[in-house]
Amino acid sequence: MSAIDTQPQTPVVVDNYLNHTKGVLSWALTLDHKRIGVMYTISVLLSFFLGGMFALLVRTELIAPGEGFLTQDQYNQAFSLHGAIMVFLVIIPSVPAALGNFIMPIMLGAKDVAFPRLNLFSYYLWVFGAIFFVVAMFTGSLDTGWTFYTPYSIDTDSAMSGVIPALTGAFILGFSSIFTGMNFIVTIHRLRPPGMTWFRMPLFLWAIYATALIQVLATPVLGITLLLLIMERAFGIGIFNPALGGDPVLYQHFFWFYSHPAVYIMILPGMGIISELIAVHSHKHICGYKFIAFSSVAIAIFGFLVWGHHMFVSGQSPLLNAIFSAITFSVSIPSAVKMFNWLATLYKGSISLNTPMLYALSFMFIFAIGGLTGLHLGTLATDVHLHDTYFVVAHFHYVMMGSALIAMIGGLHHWWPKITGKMYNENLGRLGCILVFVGFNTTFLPQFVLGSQGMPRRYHDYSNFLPEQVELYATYHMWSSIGSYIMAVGFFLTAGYLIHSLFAGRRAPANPWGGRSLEWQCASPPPYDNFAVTPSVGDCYDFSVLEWDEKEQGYRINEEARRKQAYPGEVADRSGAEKLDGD
Amino acid sequence: MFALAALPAGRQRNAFVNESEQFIAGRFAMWLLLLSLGMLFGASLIAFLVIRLQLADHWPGELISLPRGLWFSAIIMLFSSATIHAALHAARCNRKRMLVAGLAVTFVLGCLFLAMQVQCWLVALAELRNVWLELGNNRLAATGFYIFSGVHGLHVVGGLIPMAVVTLRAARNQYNAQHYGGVQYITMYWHFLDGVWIVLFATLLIGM
Repeated sequence: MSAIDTQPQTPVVVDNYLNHTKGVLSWALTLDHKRIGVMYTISVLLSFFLGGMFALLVRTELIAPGEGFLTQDQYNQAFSLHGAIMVFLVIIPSVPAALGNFIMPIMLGAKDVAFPRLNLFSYYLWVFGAIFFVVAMFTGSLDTGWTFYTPYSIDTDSAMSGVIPALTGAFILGFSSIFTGMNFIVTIHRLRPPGMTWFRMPLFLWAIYATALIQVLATPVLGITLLLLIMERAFGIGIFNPALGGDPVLYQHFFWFYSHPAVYIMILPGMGIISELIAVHSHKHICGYKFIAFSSVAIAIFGFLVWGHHMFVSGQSPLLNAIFSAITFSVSIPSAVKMFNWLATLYKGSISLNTPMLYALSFMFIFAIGGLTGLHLGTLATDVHLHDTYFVVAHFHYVMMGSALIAMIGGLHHWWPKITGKMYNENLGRLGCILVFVGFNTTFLPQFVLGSQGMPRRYHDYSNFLPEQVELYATYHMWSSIGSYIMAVGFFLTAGYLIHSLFAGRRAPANPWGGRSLEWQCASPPPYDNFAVTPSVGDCYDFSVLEWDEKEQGYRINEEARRKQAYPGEVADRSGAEKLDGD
Repeated sequence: MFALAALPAGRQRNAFVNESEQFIAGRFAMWLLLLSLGMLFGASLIAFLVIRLQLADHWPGELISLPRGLWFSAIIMLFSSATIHAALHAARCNRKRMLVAGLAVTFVLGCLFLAMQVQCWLVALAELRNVWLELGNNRLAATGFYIFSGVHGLHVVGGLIPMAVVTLRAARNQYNAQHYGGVQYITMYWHFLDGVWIVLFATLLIGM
């Protein structure tokens, strides 16, 4: 935040959200969705660094069989903290809260979200939750895995005193997520500009909307579950502890009733970003707009009906297993609809192979593998074999890290000029993306093989298997660890050139890529009130009205062409909006 | 959230074109919050019922009885729903004294409800001491009442704080027939808490 705050000013000082007011308090108490978005982005990226360090510890421990530099307990803590940090602090808030906060109101041509104070409150809840995770890290430790399964999490004999702080942290983060979701739903319902009907919204907003529905409906269930688990551990209330008449499988049902929809909280906004990246950077109208829009909502709805597929080996009845398996397959339909529409958009498009596009293409490649391997796990007969092996680890990293996070990084590059007003080094950006892509696949492709050969997940040491197995596992684990180092180099390079661009980057034009949605019609970085001039709401994927402006080094809208394509009533005047006191 | 509410008035940031738009949005957000909290209470209800049904014959129902005070607290809660609705009606009709009175009475009833619940906790605790050893491993029979009333009670506390703010604002004459958002939102929330407690209480009555 301070890095952006102190950036050298351009010769002509234009009022924007970064220099509108100065001082730490003007950031800490800001109600501006853009500053809150930037604070979220920085916080999420710092957590990503922390979670990534734990991942490197885990990978380094596993590089060779035998006890490495971590003890068993330390290893359990490393993977638990890696998972918990990455899920609760990074991926869930990464797109909606960080990028969504910055972009969504601007895409709507609105001045802010519906409830700016609630928005700031959500951010501080996030910070508060994150503090609890840090407390969990330092005061005790957490070795339950990110899922907090009972009986690990209620085993008070183990010295893991970090369980309750971590649960409390996740509980608070949940409320941050609920309030963000509420805010976004109301914003999209009530603050769309005149002329922007539901089906003229950018697809990113559809994705954010579907995500917000899940946040509002599923997260409270996690909230009460974690609360009951805290009470179970602290007082023994007899809900999840079998020794007190409780049922540990009930915990799994409750946990996955939230956490399966939560994986769509993670992937849906990513898919929304990809819809924008693919259309803008291939300069072609998105193919099948309504299909992509409805598939987001369909995924959100199906997402509520499939939680039982995490529990095929927990002693669920065979009938339930079969039902959950069948519904699980149905999720692949809307996902595939999206993939085909993106491919069709690329077809005969005028594709710019710049960094955001490379991330979008990486997403499509990785998500295809991640999605298709999900079918193996949704199939009862194969899941029983693959359950709790590295196949599962590889699968969910392909969708959560390789898809959701890659989309987030791609979106960060796409909107970086808008957020910071600076252009990053394009060639380094491409190099960074390639390193991340190669590193990612080197890390996780071998894990599919490991898993199908029987290597269980969460093992600290694999030297006690049969000799030929140990040899096989060692080879793949080594490749996997090498891949993680390549990925780390890619991410550090990315962090390096992005930070460098803040100080030395070329000034960004309002519309560097040729985007048509409203955020490209305000200055980069946007002014405090977002729009100096009332933006024109048109077909946000009709790029034919844009022309290249050599002087600006960016695109601008050709007014004559736009008027020909305009929707009736789309230039309605919002400048008469009065400033009113809030309640 | 209340620290944020204390931000200087100059730091307002409002994206709505007029106050009625903002009111509609606020009401919509309150519905979403209630939906969300409905999921939370619904899940706790299901958790209770699942364990209750699993324990079926082992359930030591005859050992435990619900404190009688719960009937009083339920009546208080029902009555407070009526008083807050009277306050809302008064706000819509611009009857300011009635508004302040309605809110103040509801606030007092809310505190009374909490006091009654705490008293029931103590009564139940005293009774539990006698049967603790006989309960065996059917812990939920003893803790179910505490879980329900505890989670609900926290939400009542979370309602009383903004209700105090709304009451003070009403006393300072900040609401009128065109501008009564705060009264509307707190009334919706309070009715919800009333309904939830009736359902939870009924579940305890039948389940125990």
